[in-house]
Amino acid sequence: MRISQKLYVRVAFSITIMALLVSLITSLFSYISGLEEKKTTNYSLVKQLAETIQKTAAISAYLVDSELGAEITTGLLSNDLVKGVTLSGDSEMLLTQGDINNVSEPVSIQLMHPFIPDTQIGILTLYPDDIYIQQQAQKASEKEVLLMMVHSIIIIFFVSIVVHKQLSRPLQKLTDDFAKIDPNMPQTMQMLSVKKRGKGEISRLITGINSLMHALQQTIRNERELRTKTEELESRFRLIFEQASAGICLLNEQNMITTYNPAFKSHFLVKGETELSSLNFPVLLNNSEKLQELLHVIRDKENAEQYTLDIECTIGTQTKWIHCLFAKLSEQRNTLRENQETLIEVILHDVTERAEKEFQTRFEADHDVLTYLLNRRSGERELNNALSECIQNDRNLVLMMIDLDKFKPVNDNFGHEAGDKVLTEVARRIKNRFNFKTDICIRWGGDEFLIARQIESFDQKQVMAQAQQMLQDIELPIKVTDKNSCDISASIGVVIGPSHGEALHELMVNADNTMYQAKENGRGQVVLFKNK
Amino acid sequence: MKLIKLSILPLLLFSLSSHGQDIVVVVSKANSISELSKREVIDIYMGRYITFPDGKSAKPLDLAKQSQLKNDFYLRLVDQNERKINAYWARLLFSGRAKPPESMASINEILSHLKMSESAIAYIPGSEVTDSVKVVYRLNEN
Repeated sequence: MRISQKLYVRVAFSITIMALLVSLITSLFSYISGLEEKKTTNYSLVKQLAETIQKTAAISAYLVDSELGAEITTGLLSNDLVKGVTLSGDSEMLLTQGDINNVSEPVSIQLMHPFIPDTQIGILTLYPDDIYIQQQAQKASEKEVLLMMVHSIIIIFFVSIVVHKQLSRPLQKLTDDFAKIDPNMPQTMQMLSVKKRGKGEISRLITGINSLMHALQQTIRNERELRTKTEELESRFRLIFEQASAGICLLNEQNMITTYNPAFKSHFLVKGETELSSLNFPVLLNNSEKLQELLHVIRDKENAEQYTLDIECTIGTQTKWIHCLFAKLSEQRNTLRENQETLIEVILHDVTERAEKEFQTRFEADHDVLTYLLNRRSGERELNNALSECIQNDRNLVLMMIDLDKFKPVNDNFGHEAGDKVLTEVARRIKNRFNFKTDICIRWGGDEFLIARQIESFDQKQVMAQAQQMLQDIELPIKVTDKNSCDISASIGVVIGPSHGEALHELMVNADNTMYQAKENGRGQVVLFKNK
Repeated sequence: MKLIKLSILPLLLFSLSSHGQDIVVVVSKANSISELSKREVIDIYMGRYITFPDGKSAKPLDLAKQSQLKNDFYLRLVDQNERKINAYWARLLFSGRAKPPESMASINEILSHLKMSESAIAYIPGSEVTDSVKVVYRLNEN
């Protein structure tokens, strides 16, 4: 980048143009005024010339002396300023010499009588040489113009040198130094050299640039550092986000997933697919309507709380349990933007295994290992619940206490395995008959079973018929080994809650007693509790 | 300076001495001119004309240098002293046709010249007028 040439030349050129223009105008004025002045001067010179010779001319006119007159006129003509001379006496023209035509302003002086005062004796007329005068004036003006031009040129030369030295060269140096600076490389932002004693504008400019650059350098350095830090942090956060084992996603107001991490994707990806089946979060999970309600509730709550929930979902053919943590994202900035969306962050883990284990554990805790019926402990709890529910809803709870008859001989004759098989088969038959959702089937003891069913209103016939059918089911032969099967029976005591007891233990006692009554009556029969 | 002083002093004395004296312009008795005007006298003496108004040749006579009468004559005629008159003639010495009047040594020589020449014209003090001359112009003291 060459600045000097341009600037230097431009300044010099401008000065030249200006100087020449001024010179020309001045010259023109000086020429015109010089011409006039010269003319006036020359005319007065001519007049003086005439006055010098006035006396002699007067004498010659007085004497009518042509010789003397000729001498005068020749003398006058020898002057460059004079083109023609006329010397005339009183009566007759004495002499005419030179060219007297085409003269604008002849200079005439009166010739006075040399001896008689106040008497005119003749006229001496000088015809100035206009062309010569003009030439003179022109020459003088030309000289002046030439001088002025030379003057101008010298001034231009020195001004150019000064401009070059004081302005262009420092500017060039500044520009060259400046060109070395690459804003992308702060290390190139070195201080520009400045004259130590410089107090001129350029020095101040350089100083200014230096301080600006210094500040800029600092800023850039700081910003780079900051950026590096930010990048590091960002990559760390990204790593956390990307590598997290927990699935993370953000939901907008419409419950659409706006951001999610790979773990999230892997949780919900159907095998063989590469994209999520839907970005609508609730749709991904089972029971989406309830989830939507929950999300709505979370959004509406003032205090941002966290909600955790285990949700079941079906991915393809697989059923998974997902543990979800919902958190409303609160804006960390001081001023909330208007109409800002409330985002919900969801962090979720696949808890299928744990859930299954939990189910298993709970199932094992609540159920009889052999028959898979409820065990007595959990059965009692269920019964309590069912009873209070029936009392609340003005319904009846039918309880059937079943005790197998002749079970011990089976154990004794065919072994425990056969006994277990009998128990299992009985349990299956019980469950088969009492398969309502609200039905409760319990293995109450060794060969004791308890069935509870909720009914709208007590109909003795119907209840007894059901009990009889159950008994008939139980009495069907049970195959205990490949060859052998056995027939067993049962004694069934039936009580109706809450008519036969408002408390469970009261009902149970009554049921037990009723069952024993059936045994006493000869086994293999159903007895309904009767109030005493 | 001394020279000038010496030359001026006698002039002053002369002028004082000539005070009140008439100077007359005279011609020969034989000349037909009876009277001349001042201008005509000037023209003859200053060399403009070499003839009298009637066309006859005129020959002016002058006194020698540094004569009181000469000085007075020119002063009265053209209001210029002898030195100026000398300068005038000197100016015309090398160019011009005009010749200065012929110088005579004394009044007597003038008078004798007047007797002989009809064309002669001269100036003399009024007291020196004789019968042989005719006064044509009288220069009174101003």
